[in-house]
Amino acid sequence: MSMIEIAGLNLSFGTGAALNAVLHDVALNVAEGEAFGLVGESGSGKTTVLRCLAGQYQHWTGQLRIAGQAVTRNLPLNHYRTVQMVFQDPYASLHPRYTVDAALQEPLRIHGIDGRGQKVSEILRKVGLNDSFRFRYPHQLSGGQRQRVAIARALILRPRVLLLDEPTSALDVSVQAEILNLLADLRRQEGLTYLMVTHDLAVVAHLCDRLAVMQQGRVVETLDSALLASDGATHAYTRLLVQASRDIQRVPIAV
Amino acid sequence: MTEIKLAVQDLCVEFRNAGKTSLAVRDVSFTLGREKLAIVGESGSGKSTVGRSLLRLHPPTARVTAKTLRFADIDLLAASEKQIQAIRGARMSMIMQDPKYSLNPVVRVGEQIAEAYLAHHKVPHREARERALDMLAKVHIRDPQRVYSLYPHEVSGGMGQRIMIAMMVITDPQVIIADEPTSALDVSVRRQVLNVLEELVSERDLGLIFISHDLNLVRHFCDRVLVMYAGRVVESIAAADLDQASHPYTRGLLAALPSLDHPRATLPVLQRDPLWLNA
Amino acid sequence: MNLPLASSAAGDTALPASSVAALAASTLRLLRFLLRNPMTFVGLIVVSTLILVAAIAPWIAGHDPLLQNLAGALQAPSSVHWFGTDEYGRDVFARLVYGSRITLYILLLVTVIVGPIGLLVGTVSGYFGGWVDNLFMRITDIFISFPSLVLALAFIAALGPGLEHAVIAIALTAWPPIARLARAETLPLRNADFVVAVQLQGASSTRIILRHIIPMCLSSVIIRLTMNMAGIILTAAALGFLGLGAQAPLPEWGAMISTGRRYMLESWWLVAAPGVAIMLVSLAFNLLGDGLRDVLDPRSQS
Repeated sequence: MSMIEIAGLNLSFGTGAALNAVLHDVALNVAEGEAFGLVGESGSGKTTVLRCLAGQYQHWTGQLRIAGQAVTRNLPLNHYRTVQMVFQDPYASLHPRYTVDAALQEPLRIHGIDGRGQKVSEILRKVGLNDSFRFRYPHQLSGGQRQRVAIARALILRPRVLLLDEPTSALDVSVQAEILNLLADLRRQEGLTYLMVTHDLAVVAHLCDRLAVMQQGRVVETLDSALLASDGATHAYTRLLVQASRDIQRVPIAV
Repeated sequence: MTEIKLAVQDLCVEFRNAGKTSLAVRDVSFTLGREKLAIVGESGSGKSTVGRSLLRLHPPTARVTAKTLRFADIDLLAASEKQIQAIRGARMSMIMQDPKYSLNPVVRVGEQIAEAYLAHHKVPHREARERALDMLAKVHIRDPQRVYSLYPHEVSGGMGQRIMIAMMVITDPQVIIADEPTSALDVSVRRQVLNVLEELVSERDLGLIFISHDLNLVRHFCDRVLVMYAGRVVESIAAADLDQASHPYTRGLLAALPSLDHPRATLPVLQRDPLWLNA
Repeated sequence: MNLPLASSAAGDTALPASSVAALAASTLRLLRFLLRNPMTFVGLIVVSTLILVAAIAPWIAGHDPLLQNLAGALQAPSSVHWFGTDEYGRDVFARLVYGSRITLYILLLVTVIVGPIGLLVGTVSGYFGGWVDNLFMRITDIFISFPSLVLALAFIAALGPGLEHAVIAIALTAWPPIARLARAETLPLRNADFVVAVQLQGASSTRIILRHIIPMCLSSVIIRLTMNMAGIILTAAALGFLGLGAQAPLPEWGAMISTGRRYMLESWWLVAAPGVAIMLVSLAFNLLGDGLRDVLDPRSQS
């Protein structure tokens, strides 16, 4: 059963002369429990796809389904208990005036869930923090700790799908390793489905089973991540990305 | 053996904030010849502070001390502000991370390059323009005439960074400090920019200090690597020998990088030893 | 699971154990920063003195501010009447002290009206954009295009003179800049990740504006309101001076200057005392506002 189904997704911004087509016929399927990577450079549209799934952009055309339910213009409240998102910048994704406890309780309050204090403690432990972090403000936390809190916030509603927007690209190398390990562990433990946007092929190879490569709003190739290292990529752009990631050969200088 | 362009010994930078002092850089020592030297570290390691201190670009709340801080024959610590201004941009330049923020948004890019030259050489504007066009061609920008009249928001990231390089190299400096020059760029564009830097360094008598957090990037690009942790240099090694690094922090960093070619189920997590703070 | 290295932000010692403790800790830190700046400290002292004086007015005035004694009119400052007496023989010091109550009353009332209205209009305008934004901003444009004193005079002309009417008139001219400020603060927040995150939790727009956006605007608005207070005092004094604000025999400072004008050359204390009081209090609020900005403004924090 497909957890995420995207078919014929098209999205443009602006009208008339300023029409900017951002997504062209994007299609992909993510199975339940799978970790799927969405790779591309800036302007490829990969983050836009995530935001369409999250319900942030509403004027797309095509079919989007999550857990069998269509993503519509006016999303019911339980959509947000199925899908959650982790953002790129840990310094911007937590409200500066909310303590960790308040930030984690907020989604529970919105959905009218009780036993909030205990749930907060539980989720903090799951992401490798503890109760001593509950009443700190974001500026008192390191980048890695903030990202853990962001992951906790995404998971506290027990979603089935996690949309990840470059979750480690703003983190130091050593912290990235911790967060990647955490994400891998959580996926196993909670049976989550991941759709992860990243520009880093090494991260995709580490965390994801399959990936789609996007260029200028189009999906140019979908393949198993194991094929990346073994030169199994077929599309020229994918091979270009693999080469750049390995930094072995010089790419002819173009303008 | 090429001459030493930059000699740094026991550089310390102290920041004073609200009555508290913190040591951002402790006892950093290195020399720079005609080579590509990388300073690698994570956030808070002090690598950018080192770069800025060399050009005396640190904020007034910082105190810079060193046993030696010599550029060619000039003592950078004792030099007057006028002397430093004569050095900045002319003999020692800095390339910054994001051309979006480091280029003046209301001035055409060609003019900015020309201005960089005019700041240190009294020549007619026409000549500065010629040199700027020349420089644009040298950084492999096709159609320099057209690009000369563009504004920074009209050029792509990679082109903007090459323009920045042109601006900083036009005065023929002897040392370039590049502070994360490719971190804001797409992966496929990084190589272009690095190639430009490499060409410039090999053609001219240039020393390059490459500050970065990306160990993988510098191991292929640079000749020597300094690894910084909590303000200190914990490892100084040739880039080719990185795999034989001795300090546990360096080894930990290398191990923690996810690799395209060697996937592992779990990435080894860096265990920070408090003893490293006293290395 | 591997526990990450616990970071300790510079200077933090104890970890807060509850949300109240966390709030208290950050407020204390704020106060400490505030008091570090000598100018702000002075401002804070003067403002606190004003509040204290207003609070204990009956006990320190020494005389009845409204009691007339024509035989003892226009007396110079002495040990009996510290700031002398006015043309009706009323003790100037007592009038000054009771006048501080009126000043505080005006300041509080205007702030309580202007703050919430400005915040709400500005944040709603900035968050929703579109025609809502257009509507609200054109309304504020209309208000802003008049000089505030002229506008206040117009309102008083319509409402009639009096202290409460003066308060309303001043409030009506003071809210638009606050709305503009709140809108300017809201615009970049609208697309901030943490706002998107709470949208993705299913929060309603009301909840987002009230609980997530307004708290971020509060600092700027508080700073602005504090700096505005000097202007409010001066406008109230101007209205009082023109006889359109507080009516006789209320000891409002501006009205005191107005009536004392006639005797200024011989009885300088009639004008000097309320004048210096207005100047000191305005200055104090400005200094306080400046210090608050250094402390609260995230942009000025290193």
